[in-house]
Amino acid sequence: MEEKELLSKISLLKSVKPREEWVFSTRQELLGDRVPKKSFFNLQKERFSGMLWHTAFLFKFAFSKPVLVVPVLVFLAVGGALLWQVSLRSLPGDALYSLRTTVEQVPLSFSAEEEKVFLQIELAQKHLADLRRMAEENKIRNLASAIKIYEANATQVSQSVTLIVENQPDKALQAGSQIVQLQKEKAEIEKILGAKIGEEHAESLENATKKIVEYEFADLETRSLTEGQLALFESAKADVEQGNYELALEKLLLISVDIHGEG
Amino acid sequence: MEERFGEIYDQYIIKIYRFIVLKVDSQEVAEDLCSEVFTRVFQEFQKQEIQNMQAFLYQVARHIIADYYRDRASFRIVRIEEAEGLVAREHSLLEKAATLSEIEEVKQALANLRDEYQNLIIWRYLDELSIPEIAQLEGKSEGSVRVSLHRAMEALRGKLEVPKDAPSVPV
Repeated sequence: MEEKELLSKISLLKSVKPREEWVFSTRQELLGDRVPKKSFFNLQKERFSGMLWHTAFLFKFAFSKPVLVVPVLVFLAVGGALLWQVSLRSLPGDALYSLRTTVEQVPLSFSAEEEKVFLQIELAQKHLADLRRMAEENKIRNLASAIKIYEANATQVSQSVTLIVENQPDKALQAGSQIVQLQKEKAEIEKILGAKIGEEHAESLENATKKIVEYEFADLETRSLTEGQLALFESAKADVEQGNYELALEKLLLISVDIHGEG
Repeated sequence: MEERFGEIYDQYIIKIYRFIVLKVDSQEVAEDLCSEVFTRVFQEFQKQEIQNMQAFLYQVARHIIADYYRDRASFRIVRIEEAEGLVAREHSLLEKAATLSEIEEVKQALANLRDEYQNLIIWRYLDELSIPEIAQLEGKSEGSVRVSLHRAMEALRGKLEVPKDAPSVPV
């Protein structure tokens, strides 16, 4: 066997690589999944400012030649709409993801405080859906960034929920039901990934759920409940004693729906 | 600290995993041992400054692989030099190699070399380490590494040529 042939046979072994899921989960276990030095958000900002710079350059060029103004504006409008559509399907690490995240933040900046939490939950759900897609399509490379984004959402949600319970308790249950759904989706994705997502932030979300549960208990205790509702209420109390606030909240939600249905 | 080790992890995880999996030939075991390597190295990294991270990682990996085979003596690597009397087993490996892909064939051939030769081939031709780097890992002179590497390649060539000369396996 020639030396060249032998070397080419050996180099075949370069294709022996670990499973990406395992590399990711081991990294997460070992390091608590710290994201690289340059934070994801900063990176996205840089990419977006680069995009703005190119657009500004195009404008400058167009306005120096008036005949080009209309075609350039039409091009920008059509191109912008197309880019926006494509960016909606983008995932962390994709070139257009920066556009998507920037636009996603716009409604949050202009929404009233009481609506903010629902928009934040909606955003967290979208980012969880991204995580699911990445896990199912085995796009593990940027999973750490995607998790970081979800964690940031979860922190915002828990902070806003705490405010809602204090200032607008009538909306707390609605937010609570969406948080329960969010937690269920998260648990499903954790099963696919074989790793925990955002453990550091789980406590704050749990505290938010706890506050809603406590408020609902206090509220329901002032109401007269049917036998079935009372049984569910007691069962929810037992869940709380066992520290299962999510399950308790689900039962309180059922009671609430029942009460409003009767009303 | 974690961030810096994260970079080290990203840089070496594939190399260390490959180094291990080519010796234990089982994905599950390789994953466990590789996790152990990085856990131990991370613990040391937190305690002291490690001058040559690459050398340290390979050193820990070698110790962990050695511990694994010591603990599970029945699963040790079958070296061809030691395999006299295990002809039936060798034939069974060849039977497998005949049906496996070319990659599996090279993996098997490499696994049948003595440990030192395996290391030299992996480091030089897969991890693309320089001769001085290998000399440092092995604690030998560069000349000695060159000679051993030449012998390792000859041994591998011999193993890869075995199936051609081997009697046909009955179906």
